[in-house]
Amino acid sequence: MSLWRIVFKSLRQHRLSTGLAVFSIALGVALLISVISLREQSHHNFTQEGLGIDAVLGPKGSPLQIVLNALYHLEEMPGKIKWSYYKKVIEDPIVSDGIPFISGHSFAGFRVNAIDDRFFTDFEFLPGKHFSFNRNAGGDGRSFQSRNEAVAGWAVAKMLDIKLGDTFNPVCGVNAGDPIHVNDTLTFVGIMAPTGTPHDRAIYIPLKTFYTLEGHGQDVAQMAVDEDCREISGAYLKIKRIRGGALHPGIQDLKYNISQSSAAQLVIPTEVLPRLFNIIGWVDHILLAIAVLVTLLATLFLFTALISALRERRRDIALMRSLGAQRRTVFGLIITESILITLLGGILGLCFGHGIVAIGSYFIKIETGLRFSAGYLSVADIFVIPSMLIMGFLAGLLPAIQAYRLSVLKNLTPVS
Amino acid sequence: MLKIKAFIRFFIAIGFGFFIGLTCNEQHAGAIDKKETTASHSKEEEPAHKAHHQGCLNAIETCEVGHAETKIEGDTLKVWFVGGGTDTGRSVRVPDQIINLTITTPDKKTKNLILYPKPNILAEEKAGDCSFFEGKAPWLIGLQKFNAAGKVNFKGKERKIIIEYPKGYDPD
Amino acid sequence: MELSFTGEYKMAITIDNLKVDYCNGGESFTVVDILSWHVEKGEQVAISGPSGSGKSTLLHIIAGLLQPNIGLVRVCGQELTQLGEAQRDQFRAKSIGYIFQNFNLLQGYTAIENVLMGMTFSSQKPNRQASVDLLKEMGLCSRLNHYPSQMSIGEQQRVAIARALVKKPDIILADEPTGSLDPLHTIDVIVKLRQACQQHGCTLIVVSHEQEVISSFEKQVFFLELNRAFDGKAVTV
Repeated sequence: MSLWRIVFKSLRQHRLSTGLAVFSIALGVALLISVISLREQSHHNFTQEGLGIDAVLGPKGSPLQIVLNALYHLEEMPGKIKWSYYKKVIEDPIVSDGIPFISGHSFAGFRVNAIDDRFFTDFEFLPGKHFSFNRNAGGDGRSFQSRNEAVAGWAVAKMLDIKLGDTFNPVCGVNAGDPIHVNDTLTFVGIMAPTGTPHDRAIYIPLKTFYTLEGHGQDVAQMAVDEDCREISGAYLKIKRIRGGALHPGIQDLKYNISQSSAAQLVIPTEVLPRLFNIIGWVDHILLAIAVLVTLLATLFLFTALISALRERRRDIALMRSLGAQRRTVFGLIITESILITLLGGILGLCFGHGIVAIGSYFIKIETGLRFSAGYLSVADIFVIPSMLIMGFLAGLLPAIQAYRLSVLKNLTPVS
Repeated sequence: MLKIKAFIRFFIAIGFGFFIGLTCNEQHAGAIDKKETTASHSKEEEPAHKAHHQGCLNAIETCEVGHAETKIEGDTLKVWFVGGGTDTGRSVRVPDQIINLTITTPDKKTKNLILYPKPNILAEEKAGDCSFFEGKAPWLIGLQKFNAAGKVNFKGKERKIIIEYPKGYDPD
Repeated sequence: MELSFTGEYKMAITIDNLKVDYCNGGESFTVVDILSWHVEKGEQVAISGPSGSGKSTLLHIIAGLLQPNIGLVRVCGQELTQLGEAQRDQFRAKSIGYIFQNFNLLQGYTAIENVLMGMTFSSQKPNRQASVDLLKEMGLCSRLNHYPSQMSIGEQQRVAIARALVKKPDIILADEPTGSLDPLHTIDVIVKLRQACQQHGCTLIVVSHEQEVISSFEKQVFFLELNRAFDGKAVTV
């Protein structure tokens, strides 16, 4: 009989406590894995090169609000900027392109953005990637070409079961109870292929359609034809690159120059979002602390289980010693048992953790359009197995020492 | 045969590697964290006294009144007039049409340089209501260090400009 | 350090000037005091004596479970008193088979697994066939995969004998092996034990206070004659 068999036998003999220990460790590890994976992926998602947007020209107000609205279709823009100011900005030598948009409408809980049609051809939702309506890629139809046409993001189409030719009436606002443009019926002519970005969660209509929606008033309608009084919510700006693909260093000067005006501000997403994470970073830390605590408690449970199991096994251990097992052998048996339990718990926890991420990813994708991957390998994945080895060793150390020091004669029935 | 010493050595190695990995892990919120140069008056200056153009900040009379951020690029000396204290990100427009600077180079030679306004169109500035000035001269190329003096009508009053490039001027 | 003695020997057990003291609440008293004792290789010896006379202590010394205070103990040519604890464990794993009064089978292991346990800690490769053969020899071929709780006391003791024999030890030490058995099983177990030891060439030392056990051995030792330390008081270890 090999020593490994003795270990496995022992684990089976105490299968209830072994099972509980494995389960509780798996739970702690699953929490750790899922929290860290979601945390890292959300950091990545929210900071991935500004989602293809170098800068957002927006009104004065909270830069974070502008980024959340322009990139993630959340919040509302804090104001409007003049079309003439936008034109001045895109004439700056370091600006290569701009795509103006107007936000503030919605349909069935999804944002409806009026946008320049170059959004579908020139805009890079991720560096080097353009929108597509290709059926093979999951899209359908085409971009809008006339006033009453609209395009749906992939997640919107999936959630609302939108087909080409379906119609809708946009809501003038983003809150429940806001008025509906009942006399403006728009038709879906395109569904964008999924991009894994928040743009999947929006509906897009022509820029000029916004101005002519009934109920906006004559002064807004005038903006459709008169550039001098036209206003927009903001614009996505593409900045020129220098050697190596880095942003033109003049972007900071441009940002400074625009910020000196009373009309607008330039927001660089990759500068703003880290601040968001700094603010909510404590939530992160608390979740992580909870996960770590659960894992430590599970290890403590294992420790107590091993200690109490040892009390039952004193005789067995004394018997093995009398059969010739050395002190270090019984020490090793206990340690190996402990490590096997934590290792098994760790492996199960890895699977559970990625399972939790898979489930969470599905709902996050539906709710935000952001893609999270169950197969993402985080820092935790790399360290979980070595950590389990260490924890198993530590949890089993005291019981193993007790086994090591166990007196053979005292634990076998004396005869004469 | 299970050997204690081998086990202990193995786990010490794993534990060491684990802690090295933890301490080397620099995952923080925000993948791209632009580190803006905080060239300011001196090394002890708080990070809030930020030079938004990566130049050096020179107090105009006192730090609280305002600053002249100064930078040489090639043959051009650039000067931005900005707010005092921590408000160095806000421009301060001056009515001057030109600014005369007397520049003393490290070899104790003095030279004159005229700064001309370069209005920020995006902030609707114009000459006579401008916060940014430039002066060109071939001898500026490669100039790493200089002191300069001049005058400017800053916040409604004629004030001295003292520039100590590149360390900045702070009388406080 | 591995044991290095592999030579032939004539005497299975040689004891000279052996003294074992126990401490009890600061007071020390001698439990075993043997001037000289020898057991030849292959001999089968029964040791009898009253309870507390130190018989088990002697077996513990021979098995290397206990170190004497002074004296020489040579077992199968190996001087145990010069070995460290780990070396004595190794020696015991290789050369000593021990049978306890209460059988001391591992309750969570089947009969065959208990027997295999007997060779796990020696340097021999576990031999399942040899274990099966021994259990068959003991009349337990239908009990191979049964747990101790599923066997009678006599069957359990026979498993313990098989476990002691499986590694082909040089010496079998049996401490009251029939203490918990009825007279019928007692004779059966002793006969099987002696036959197995004869067959495998093991030296056998049996400690017992049962007359039917003692009288079945040709060589009998009355422990009070051997141990000079016993003064009639029972010793609880």
